[in-house]
Amino acid sequence: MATTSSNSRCALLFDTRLRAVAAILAAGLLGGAGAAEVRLDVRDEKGVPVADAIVWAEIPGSKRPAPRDVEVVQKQRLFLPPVTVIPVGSTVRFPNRDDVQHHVYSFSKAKKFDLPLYIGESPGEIVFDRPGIVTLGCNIHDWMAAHIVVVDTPFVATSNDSGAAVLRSLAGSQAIVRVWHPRLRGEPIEWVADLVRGPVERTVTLKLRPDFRRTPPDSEGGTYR
Amino acid sequence: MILLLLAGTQAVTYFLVSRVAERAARERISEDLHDAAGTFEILLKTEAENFSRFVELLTSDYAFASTFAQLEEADTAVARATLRSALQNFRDRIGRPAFLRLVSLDRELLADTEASDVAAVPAMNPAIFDAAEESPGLEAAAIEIVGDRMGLLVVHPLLAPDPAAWVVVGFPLDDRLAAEFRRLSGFEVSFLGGGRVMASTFDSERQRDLAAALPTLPDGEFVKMVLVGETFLGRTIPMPGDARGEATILVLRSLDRELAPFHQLERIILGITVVALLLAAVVGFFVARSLARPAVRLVEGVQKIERGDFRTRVPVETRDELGRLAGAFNQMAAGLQERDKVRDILGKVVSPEVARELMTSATELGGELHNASILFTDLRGFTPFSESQNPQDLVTQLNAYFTEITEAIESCGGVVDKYIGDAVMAVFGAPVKVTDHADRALDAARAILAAEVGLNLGRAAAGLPPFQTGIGISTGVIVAGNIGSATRHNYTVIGNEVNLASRLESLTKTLEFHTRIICSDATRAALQRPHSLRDLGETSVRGKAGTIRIWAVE
Repeated sequence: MATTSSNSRCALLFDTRLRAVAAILAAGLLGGAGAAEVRLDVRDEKGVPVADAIVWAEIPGSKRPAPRDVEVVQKQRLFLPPVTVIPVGSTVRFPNRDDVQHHVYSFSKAKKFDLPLYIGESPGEIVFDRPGIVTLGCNIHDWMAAHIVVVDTPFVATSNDSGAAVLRSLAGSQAIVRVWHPRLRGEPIEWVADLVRGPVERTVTLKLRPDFRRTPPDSEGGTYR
Repeated sequence: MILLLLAGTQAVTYFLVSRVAERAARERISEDLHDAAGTFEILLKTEAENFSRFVELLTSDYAFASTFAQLEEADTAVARATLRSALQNFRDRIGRPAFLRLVSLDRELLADTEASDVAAVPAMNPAIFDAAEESPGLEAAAIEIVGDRMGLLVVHPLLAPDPAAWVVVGFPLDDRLAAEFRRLSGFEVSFLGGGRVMASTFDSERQRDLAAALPTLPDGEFVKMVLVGETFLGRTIPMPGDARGEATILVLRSLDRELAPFHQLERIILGITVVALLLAAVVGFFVARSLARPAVRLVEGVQKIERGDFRTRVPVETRDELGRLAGAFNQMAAGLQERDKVRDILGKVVSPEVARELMTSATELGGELHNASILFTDLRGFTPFSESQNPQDLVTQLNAYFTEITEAIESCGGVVDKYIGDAVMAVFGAPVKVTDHADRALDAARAILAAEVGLNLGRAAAGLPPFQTGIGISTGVIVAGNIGSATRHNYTVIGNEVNLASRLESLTKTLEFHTRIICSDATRAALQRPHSLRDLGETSVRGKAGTIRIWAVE
């Protein structure tokens, strides 16, 4: 079993390499400059592909993305979506679509805020003016958690089920690449990628913590049915 | 013998019962231990889980998380003191002895409920955080031994709502907890850690003995140890939450105390046995005595009878064979006594020889011929004297006289046939046949006179006149036998010689004879030994034809 899996990984690697060679060849043929790609293979410590990892690249001097207005709603006692990526300066509203109140808060350094017990429309708009990871919680529901990733770049990607994430159209010679995942232990992984030599291929290993969080209760009835 | 058998049976029963009792006690402790060990593990696991839940209450606490966030923003003394204060507040909420620590994700101690200066707190073993990071629930437990104290540590992440720090809750495994476990389980409880006794329900003396026995303590096995002279049975139980096997719980129960009711039972059985044996001994003694006593009395009675004491009687106490035997014995004794009485009276009425003859031969009317001598005595001048005396004195004096006379006669083998007033008639040669009856009669006559001398000395002293006895003796064939009616008869002799003896006695009054004793010629002829006789010549006697020759006995 182990042999099979390692073989398949080898095959995958070989396949990726082939594709890289093909890409270089293609780039060379096209002769286009300033359109590099960073292709990441995100895995956990056991080598299992990690989906939903957020990957972004900051290229000094590149144009800043325009701020956006987004919503993170509370529905069925959950935050939706669980992860939101926004450019710096964006405004987020937190409407409560449940029939109970919520108390949304953040103790994160990137943005601390507190929206005490409310229901219905968001009591205010929160402007996220610093890049970083913001963890949202609800004071009265332990299991409710969500993240807002505030980035200072338009180059953002999310890993798919096979752990692959591709940042395209990177114009520049260097890029600071960061990888983050909701279950990542500690700060986002970052490094400087040299874009001059063409597309960057990289396998990123994330130290993930177990999914320890309590699952939300099924319904209003609780355990008494 | 029966007592010995009884004692033996009791001893064997006692031994068997005590052995069964001890084995039962051991088995019960073992079973209890088995049950208790299971209960204990559940109890301890529940405790550890409860500890975890306590911690979770804190780690999801918004207020505490915000206090921690404040420290993250600006690490000031006030922020740290606030954090510690919040921890203490939570510690008090738990309501159990506990201590709390807040440790950063980089494992730096930020606050401790028990120490204001975190630098002074001994560094924690990082293994617990490694374990927590690897565990699915991001939680871990471990035993911490600091000095002579031991605690169970539980680690949980502070959730804000992602893990922001580690919250450590420590529960002291101290004497108090041990005492609580003892209250729940009934076992003596000791917490062992690092090869030492960290806490125990035992007193210091037993703890010292326990500590000395620790190096040889078998693991997870049933153990038996003696602490201050008391035997304990028990086993070790792993401490829940102790992943590295640093701590153990030792549960023990006193075998001696467990056996106490059995020992009491043993003592009761022993007591009953002793009492039963004593009772059996006493009852046996009395039964034996009630059997033996009548037998002994019968033996004693028989011995008394043998000695001639016919008055003896034995009590009839029972209706059994012995009782009937006693009754028969008494009847026999009564019969014997009566016979003896009869013989006694007979002896007084008639002479012993006659009595014996009457007793031995058939007491029938009829007589037989004997060659015998008759002796006749008479007191001279008694009649005038008797008239001058009062009857009481007279009988007394006469009885004294007859006693002497009779003794003299009997000492010579004569038989007093009868007393006639102041006269005595005696027979020699009947009822017992002898050949020297004549000699005996003469001896008796002399003895009478000799006795009379002694008697008269006493009488003279009393101022009384002397007795003077005349004696006549004759010899010939006489008829001896029971003479009388069919219902009343007595043994006596009849014949001419009887009359002759009386006549010869009368002749002694004849002054010229100068003698007190006269015998017939036939008597002289029958003598076998030489006697001093004086010939008194021929004389005629009344009632006798012709003359007879008579002799004076000198």
